[in-house]
Amino acid sequence: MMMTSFMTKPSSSLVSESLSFAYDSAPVLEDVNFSLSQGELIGLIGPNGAGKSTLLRLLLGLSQPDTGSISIMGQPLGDVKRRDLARQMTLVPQDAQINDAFSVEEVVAMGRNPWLSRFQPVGRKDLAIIRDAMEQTDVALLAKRPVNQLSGGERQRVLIARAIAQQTPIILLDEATANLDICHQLEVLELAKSLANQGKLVIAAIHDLAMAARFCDRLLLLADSRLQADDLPSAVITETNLARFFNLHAEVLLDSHQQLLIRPIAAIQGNG
Amino acid sequence: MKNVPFPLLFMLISALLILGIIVAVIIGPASISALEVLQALLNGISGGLLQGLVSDIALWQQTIIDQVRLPRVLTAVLVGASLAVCGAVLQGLFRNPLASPSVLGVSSGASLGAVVAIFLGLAASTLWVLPLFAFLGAAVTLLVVYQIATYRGHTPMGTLLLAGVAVGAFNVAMSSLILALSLQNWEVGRTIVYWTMGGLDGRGWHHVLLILPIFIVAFTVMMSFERDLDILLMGEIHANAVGVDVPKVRLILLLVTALLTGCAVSVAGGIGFVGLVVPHMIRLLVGPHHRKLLPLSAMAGALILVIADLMVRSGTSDTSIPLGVITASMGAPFFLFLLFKQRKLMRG
Repeated sequence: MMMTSFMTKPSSSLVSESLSFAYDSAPVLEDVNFSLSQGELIGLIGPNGAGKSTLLRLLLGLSQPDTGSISIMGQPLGDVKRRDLARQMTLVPQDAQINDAFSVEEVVAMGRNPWLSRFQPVGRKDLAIIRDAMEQTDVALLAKRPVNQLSGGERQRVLIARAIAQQTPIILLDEATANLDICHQLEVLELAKSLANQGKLVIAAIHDLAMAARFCDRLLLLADSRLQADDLPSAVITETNLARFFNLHAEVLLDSHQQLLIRPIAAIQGNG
Repeated sequence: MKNVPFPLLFMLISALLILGIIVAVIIGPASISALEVLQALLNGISGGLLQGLVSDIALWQQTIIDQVRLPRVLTAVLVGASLAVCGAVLQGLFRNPLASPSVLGVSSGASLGAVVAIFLGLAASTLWVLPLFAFLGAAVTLLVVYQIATYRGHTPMGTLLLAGVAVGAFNVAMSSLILALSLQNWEVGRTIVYWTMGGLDGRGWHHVLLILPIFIVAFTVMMSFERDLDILLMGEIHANAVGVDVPKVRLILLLVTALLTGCAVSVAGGIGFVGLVVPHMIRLLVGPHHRKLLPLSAMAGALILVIADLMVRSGTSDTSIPLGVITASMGAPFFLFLLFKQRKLMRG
């Protein structure tokens, strides 16, 4: 089932203009510009310490840029209240240990928070949304189980269900596949892809370049605190870029299914 | 552990609390029979309308019930409920079962504020000066502790608790200094010592009326944040993602907690362990949901303090044990028991 209604909307929903951010005068991001639209699955890639997490924090409004601006749905991010922002955009955090014995259903229900007023309980309409989100991510059978007893892959799917229940047009995934085995990585990315196909803008910070190339419509490559490339995966994952930004000597091939294949050869030493 | 159903626990604790209140009003040095106490209470409730019908009990008996025992027991109810509910909120806010008004230095801050008020001779002027200073002491302590432990929007819990312990120790030192300075003035020194020991001797209706409105307001505010508190247990990043304005929610709840703790401390002095143990115990029984945790903690805190005060009063008048000593000696072993139990669970 493909819903293309959002995709025809021409305006960009998330725009970054000459964004810069420094930690104690050490630049983390410099002059970052991009413009993202609904229906895209964007991969945010780059070596460790390239500023991916910082960019996500800026997009979520958790840190303020030193210069430049972010606008979401045409509104400057700084003008949007936290609660209103949570109706536009949400984050699926990196798999974090959740210690508390909330049930799967209760965690998914937290996604309804920005839509409920203070004393308003979760209503019948919300319950239907919650149920639907759990079914999409295949955790409906776990509904009554405490989250602290789930496996890493299950927990990640619960957090994605929460993001779906939140019904935001934009979803950020922070290394959502980092601690998962290959099968669960695939599941999570397929889920991300299907959300983009439903018309959402999905931005996934991701380490695995082959996975990023395979699933994403577009890759943003952050390195040395700048946005070095913003293009189709085949144009971003090149031998030159891998050598220059990842210090990796590798061969980039196409496999029999015309999928990108990265064959690492050696780490490039000491060229900083 | 399987959770106990909320309605069951709610009814059980309410029943015990009502029973506790009645027993606490019945027991006392002046011999008034249980029947007479019930009559006096009925008279009180009906505003004297039924006086003729119920029966006539002596005026002195009515006065003791109305003006001495009942307000004292109700003060115990409100102070216990306040401390326990503040502990529950702080434990949720800081995602740490060790957080409580006393561990974070809030209680000692409130004490310091109150001691300053007594030292400056302001406390004698009006009833509201003491709680106001106690609130200021509590609020300043909480904000200082929070600021020390917060760096770039992050508040690591270990740092927070250590900061609480350090600032709390400073508060205690300052209180002792002021006490030492005021020893020459016998009257002020005596008032401070008497006050810091804590307890509910001689607490009357004005104390009930002081803490009741603040409790109602604070509890309502806390309940209105029950969902935010649940979400905060998942971690700050989760809370932000689902639209909880973390700094704002923290600030509001910290201020409300400081206000209520300050008020409770100004009425009853330093009473430890209620705020630490009660919410912990209730959480073990009903799980982490603040919707259930806050009301049950309040009721259980009230019950425990009524019982503790009953134990204080049942001692002879010349060897009465301070209330804080009783709550600590009931609370500390229980807390250790919890620690051991948790250790066993972790070992599997």
